[in-house]
Amino acid sequence: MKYIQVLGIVTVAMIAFSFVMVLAIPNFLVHSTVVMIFSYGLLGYLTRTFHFPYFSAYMLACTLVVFNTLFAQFFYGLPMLFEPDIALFSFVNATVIAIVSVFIFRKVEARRAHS
Amino acid sequence: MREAAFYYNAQLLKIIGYGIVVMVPVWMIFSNYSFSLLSVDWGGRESLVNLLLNILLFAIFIHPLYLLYKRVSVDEEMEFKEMLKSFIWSIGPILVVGILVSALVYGGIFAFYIPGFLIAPLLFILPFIYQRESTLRNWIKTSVEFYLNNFIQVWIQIIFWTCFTTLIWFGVLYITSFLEMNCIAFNVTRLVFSLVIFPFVVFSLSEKLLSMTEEVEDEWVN
Repeated sequence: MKYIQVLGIVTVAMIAFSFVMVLAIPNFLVHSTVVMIFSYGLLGYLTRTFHFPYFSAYMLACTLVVFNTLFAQFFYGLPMLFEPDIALFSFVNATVIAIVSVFIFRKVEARRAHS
Repeated sequence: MREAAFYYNAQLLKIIGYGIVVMVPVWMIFSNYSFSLLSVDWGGRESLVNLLLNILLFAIFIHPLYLLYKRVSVDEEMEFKEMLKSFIWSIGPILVVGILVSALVYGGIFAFYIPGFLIAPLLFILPFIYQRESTLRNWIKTSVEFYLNNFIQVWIQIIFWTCFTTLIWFGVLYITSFLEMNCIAFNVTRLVFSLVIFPFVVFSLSEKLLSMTEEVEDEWVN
């Protein structure tokens, strides 16, 4: 249940944030990078207190990427599913951002608890 | 229904605030998918998908209003921040399970309609039964049990509220018929209509649900 709750929060935050940021950032590449960092960083922030934080962040990031790719392929007709480069880089970037953000937020928590 | 109207009147400010802060933006964002489904040609199936999407859009908003009624009916206060928090923590499971149930409904509609109609009320029952701490299996199990035990009552409620809202909606369309109705004006009218009527429907449904569950608990005690 906790995993599905986090998944829903991150999905809705991603949709809302990307809609708002379209108004602020005209450049497509910068926009998608900012949205990616925000949403997977939020994922890492929410999963930092779980029992297996790194593993759950990794798997939830994979799930989100699969959802996004399927949606783009079958709803909007963008050719994303069968392009090996796009698949590789979206998975690598998403999982790396999620795991690094879990690491950072756990460090911050530990430092705050220590001091 | 009278108690629901009383508490609706008492909590009107919170309800309107919830409508403006949560319901309008979420509606605006998600209705983009509803609009873009109008331009897709999936051989007539897209209208069914659009209908299920619109049902899901209402099912998302139920849980905080139900919690508000539950608190208020025992004379407790509920802060607005708690409503927002409960909305945020309930949207994921309700969306995921709602999408699964609507996939079942979608399959059931093509199996000669009746299985789809039988499964569809679960979409309305699931947000009422949802609790933040319970597990996924317990949640689905209790809602299916509730549906099987109160089958007739659930269908009576659904038919009654459908007739109620349809009648009022006819009135609203008659009043606004001097406007030139395009897609956006229609959706804005529907949005304002549902901001006012939908919390009242949820309140009276939760009154009904709470009275039904209390009866069951009394039987267990006896």
